[in-house]
Amino acid sequence: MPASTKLQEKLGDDVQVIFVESQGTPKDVYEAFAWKMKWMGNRAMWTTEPPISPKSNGLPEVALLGIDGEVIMQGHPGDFGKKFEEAIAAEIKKGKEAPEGTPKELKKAWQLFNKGDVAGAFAECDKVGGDDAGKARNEFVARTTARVTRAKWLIDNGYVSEAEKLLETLEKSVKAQADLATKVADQKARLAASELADEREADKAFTFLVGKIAKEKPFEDANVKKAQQIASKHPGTKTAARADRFVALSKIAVSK
Amino acid sequence: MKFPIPKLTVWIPILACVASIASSAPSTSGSGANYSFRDPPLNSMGVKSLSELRGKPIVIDFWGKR
Repeated sequence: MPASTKLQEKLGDDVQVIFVESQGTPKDVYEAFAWKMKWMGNRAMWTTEPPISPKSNGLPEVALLGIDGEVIMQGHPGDFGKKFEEAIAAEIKKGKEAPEGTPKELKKAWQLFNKGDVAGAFAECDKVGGDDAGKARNEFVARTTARVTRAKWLIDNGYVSEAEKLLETLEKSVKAQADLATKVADQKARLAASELADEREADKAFTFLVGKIAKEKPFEDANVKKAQQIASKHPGTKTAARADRFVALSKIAVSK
Repeated sequence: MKFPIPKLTVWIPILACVASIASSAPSTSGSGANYSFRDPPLNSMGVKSLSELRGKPIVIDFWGKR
């Protein structure tokens, strides 16, 4: 557990850690437990649904899925040692290169795309031309559209500052690409709307609070009180609901 | 003693039903590349399936609170 938490914190967006609670503990209880253990406050996800079958009946167990979703390693964490982190590093490197089998003339397009220059990648595809370039272009459109959809979800769910960061990156990436630029602009316009002002303020305050307390004593009275204040100050916002949930979790008795 | 073997017209609906149940079962084995969560994970930020994470490595950590 702590090793995977550290991995997520160290590698940030380059990797996705998914914790799968495998002993039937209710969601609220294991979330409260994770807060108490100072495992929250990063991008790791938490679920009780195993996306792949565990290899053994014992815990803990870890699995590494490569950039194409195939299982590369799976077993007791102690079995792998440094090899696990090395394999992750190799996959991250692979993820920043053109996919295997990419024709030589399209490698530059992939390089540009992976650096965030979507417009540049499109221009390169257009320059190369042909079916393969068309396929690469479609893949770039699909991946970028998925990121715009994610920005929309973030706005809908009150993660305003996260949405702002993502849309800013996307805006730079897609400039001069009319269709995608319009999609990004639509979401940016939603962000600028006055009805989101309260949500923005609440999200900023709660994100700051979580960032500050996640590694200290999250459920200390003063921290819980601050979360309560954010919820009371911004009633009806999605962030207030998150803050209320944090307060409710702090009241669950869990032993370490 | 011989047992009567049902005709093909009986077997077809049975097999179709079994196939339907098998295909609707959640994907929990083999490659999880396309696994879709029935309930989005905590902190998923809108991610509903592993396919949305394609392009970055995924670490799955099986753990237990108890």
